[in-house]
Amino acid sequence: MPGVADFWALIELYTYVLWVYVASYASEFWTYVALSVSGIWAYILPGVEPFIVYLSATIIGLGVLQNLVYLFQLFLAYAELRINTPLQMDSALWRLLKSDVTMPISLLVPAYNEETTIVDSVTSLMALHYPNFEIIVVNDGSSDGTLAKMLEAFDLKPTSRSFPESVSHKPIRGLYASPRYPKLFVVDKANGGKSDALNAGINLSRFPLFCTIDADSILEADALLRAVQPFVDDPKVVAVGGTIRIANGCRIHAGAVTEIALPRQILPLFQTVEYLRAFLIARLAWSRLKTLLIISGAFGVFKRQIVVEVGGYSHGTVGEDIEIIVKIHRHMRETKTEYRMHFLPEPVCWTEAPTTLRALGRQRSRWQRGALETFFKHKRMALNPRYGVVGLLGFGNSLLVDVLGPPLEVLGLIMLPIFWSLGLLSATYVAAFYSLSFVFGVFISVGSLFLEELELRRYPRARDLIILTLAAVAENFGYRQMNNLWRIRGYWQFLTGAKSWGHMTRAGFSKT
Amino acid sequence: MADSPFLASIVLVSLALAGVSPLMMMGLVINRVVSDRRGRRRDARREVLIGRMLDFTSGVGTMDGLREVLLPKDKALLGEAAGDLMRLVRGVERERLTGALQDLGIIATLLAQLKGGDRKHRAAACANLSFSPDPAVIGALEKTLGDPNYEVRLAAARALADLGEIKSLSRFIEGLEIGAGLESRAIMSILRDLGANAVPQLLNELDRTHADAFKLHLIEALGRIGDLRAVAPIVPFVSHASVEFRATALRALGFLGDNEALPAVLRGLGDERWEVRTQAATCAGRIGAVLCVSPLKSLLDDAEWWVRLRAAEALYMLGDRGQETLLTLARDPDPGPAGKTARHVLAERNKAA
Repeated sequence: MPGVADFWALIELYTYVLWVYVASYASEFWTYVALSVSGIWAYILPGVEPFIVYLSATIIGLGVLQNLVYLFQLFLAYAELRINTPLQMDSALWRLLKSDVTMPISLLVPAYNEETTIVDSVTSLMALHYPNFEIIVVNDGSSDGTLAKMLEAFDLKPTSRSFPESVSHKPIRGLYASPRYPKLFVVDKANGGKSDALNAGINLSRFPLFCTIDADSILEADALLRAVQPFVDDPKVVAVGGTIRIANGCRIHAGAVTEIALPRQILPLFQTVEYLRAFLIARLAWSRLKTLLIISGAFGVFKRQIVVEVGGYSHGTVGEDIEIIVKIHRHMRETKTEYRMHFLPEPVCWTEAPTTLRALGRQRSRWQRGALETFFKHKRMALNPRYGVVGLLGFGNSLLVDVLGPPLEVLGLIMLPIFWSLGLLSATYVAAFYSLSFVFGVFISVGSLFLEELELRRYPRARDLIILTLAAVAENFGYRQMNNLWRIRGYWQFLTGAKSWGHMTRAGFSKT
Repeated sequence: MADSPFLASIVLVSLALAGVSPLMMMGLVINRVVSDRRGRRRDARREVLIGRMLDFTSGVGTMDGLREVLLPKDKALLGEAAGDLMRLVRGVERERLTGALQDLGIIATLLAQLKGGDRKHRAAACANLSFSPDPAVIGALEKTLGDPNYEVRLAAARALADLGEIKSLSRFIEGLEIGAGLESRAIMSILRDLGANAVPQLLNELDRTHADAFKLHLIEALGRIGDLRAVAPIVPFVSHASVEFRATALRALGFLGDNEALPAVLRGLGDERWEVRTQAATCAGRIGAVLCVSPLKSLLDDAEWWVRLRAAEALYMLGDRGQETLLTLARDPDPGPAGKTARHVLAERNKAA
């Protein structure tokens, strides 16, 4: 059985590995040598039992570490919400709406086969409360009727617009606009993926800020006003992200959420809990530490000039929303330019969550693949003091959660019962591991609900809190494990070089 | 039980969390039920109070009648509603309402909030006091300009500007210059809202030593106020060593749109930085001087796309001579960057080459 001595031996081993890694960050070759030597050393330790001891202690050690990170994030998120989050009083927002201090924004809406939702989405965007904005919908070579639906619904006609080739993208086939809807501009281009569509939108945008929005999403009317506030307050701000919430179950009318309710299906309900954890804890915490590594592609506002400076969105990645943020961090730190990125809990974007295991599985595998692609593309930043907190904490967390997390969690799920059945581990040990993992997951979810109740209170009924808590408990029995398997599939896709986005079937928002 | 201290601690932590989570949830649910009920009561009471106050301002009720219905806890509620109430009334009614808020102790409640509340309440108190020209209120708001939180400082500055009670601009600016938040464009907006009457004082401040960020706000605010007295003092900033100052000065001169700035604008059109050339082109278009046609035409071959675009837009704004220049360039059968930009800008304005 692993004892305290084994635990300290393991700490010693990892300290050694970490030291070698940090000391040799300038040379990848030596890093790999150091890691290989350490790995071989651990592997050739005599006998099977010490190996099992190390493996088990590694699994549980990383599990504990992950949970401690979550706990740390919970406290940071609380502090951020109470102390740093902009006040955004209604009167101040109203004043902002009427003032000329807000920068004009181009809303970039990449659309690929979105015929069921695109008209509603664009209608909702046109009703946003913001003094000066344009909507650029980029039809990324859809094979369905996305373009035709827009041409018909908004009476669009071919038009012309001069634009710089600041970032690269596939050829543009046509530009459309309508005098009836002067804010709307539609770009039809050859299919090149989401990054490519966003790049086309960046080239065509004429404003200092742009906002990325998924075509299947609904922005709250004051979302842009809230999101622009950090840019108004501080010229060093280069990007701001808002909260994404699940729209399944909500009442939607004329492209706006008119009544907030929880999803009635179990999968979107689990995702609601997940999103609360991800946005109200993780992103708030990393934002406080200035190590935000992701701004969701479904809703983020960026300074156009900075994104052009880093070459726009990279092609050939499915995690373009993580990658662009990491690229900006890297560029700003390498050029020693002061900058800020913020996550705000209040501007809200509602999105349709996958309702089938198939669609959800594809989405999660893609997210995992995107995270790995970004991590390894920018591995030079990982634990590299040159990149400050982003390299040490941000990438450190990514290493723990995205790189080591999925295989170790699955390994834990599979190996610990096997070791127990072989009599190599005690039942107490296995039970302790699982129970900690379970109750900690529930505790963190309850923590996110606490933050939600503290400041935001979006879910209108007390009953919703009970349902969400029950979902936070239930997700541990099957859903969480499935998620890990999907992430392992993402791992495999990354290792085998898969590039596809997969297909997402849109049901379209339900209407009243 | 666990057979090592390490495992024992895991089991203990698990048990503790298993107990804490449901307790926390229960607390949240109970808190929600209670606060929802309290919120409904509060909203209903607020409606009643607002109705009574509006009745009073329109001469229906009396001050004694108001006092009778007012409970001690209503003061905070009316304090929160004060700003909304004030926006609903004008003239004599507003004066009556201001007097009533003073007599009922609502102003005193807001002043106490300004001193002792958290940042949210302090900022809200500033906003809700922005209608009261009472010397005690103005004194308290001036004091709040030194608040440790910049959002509260800004709210106080905004309230003072709304009241038109900025007696000493230097003191006001000193307050805004403390610590973080100096770069907020909200400061520019406050300075701009001081209006033409404050221009001499703002110009004095332009000569004094201030942080760069603040001077940039001053220059832009002076431009946006649109008082031509600001042209001559802004012009020298077009030759400033900092690109930000040069660009901001040209933006301000663009708002002012005065011919006196023409030599500076022509200098800006030849600036080494594209950000400055872009602003200079826009400014030239706004001033509308035909003297700029030739240098703007040269900028249509600029290496930076934004400069080309703004130069073409400016030429279009200059009227016949500028538009003729664009048409000639656009008709070139083998157009270079200048011809292409001219074509696009004309096409965007439905003018065929």
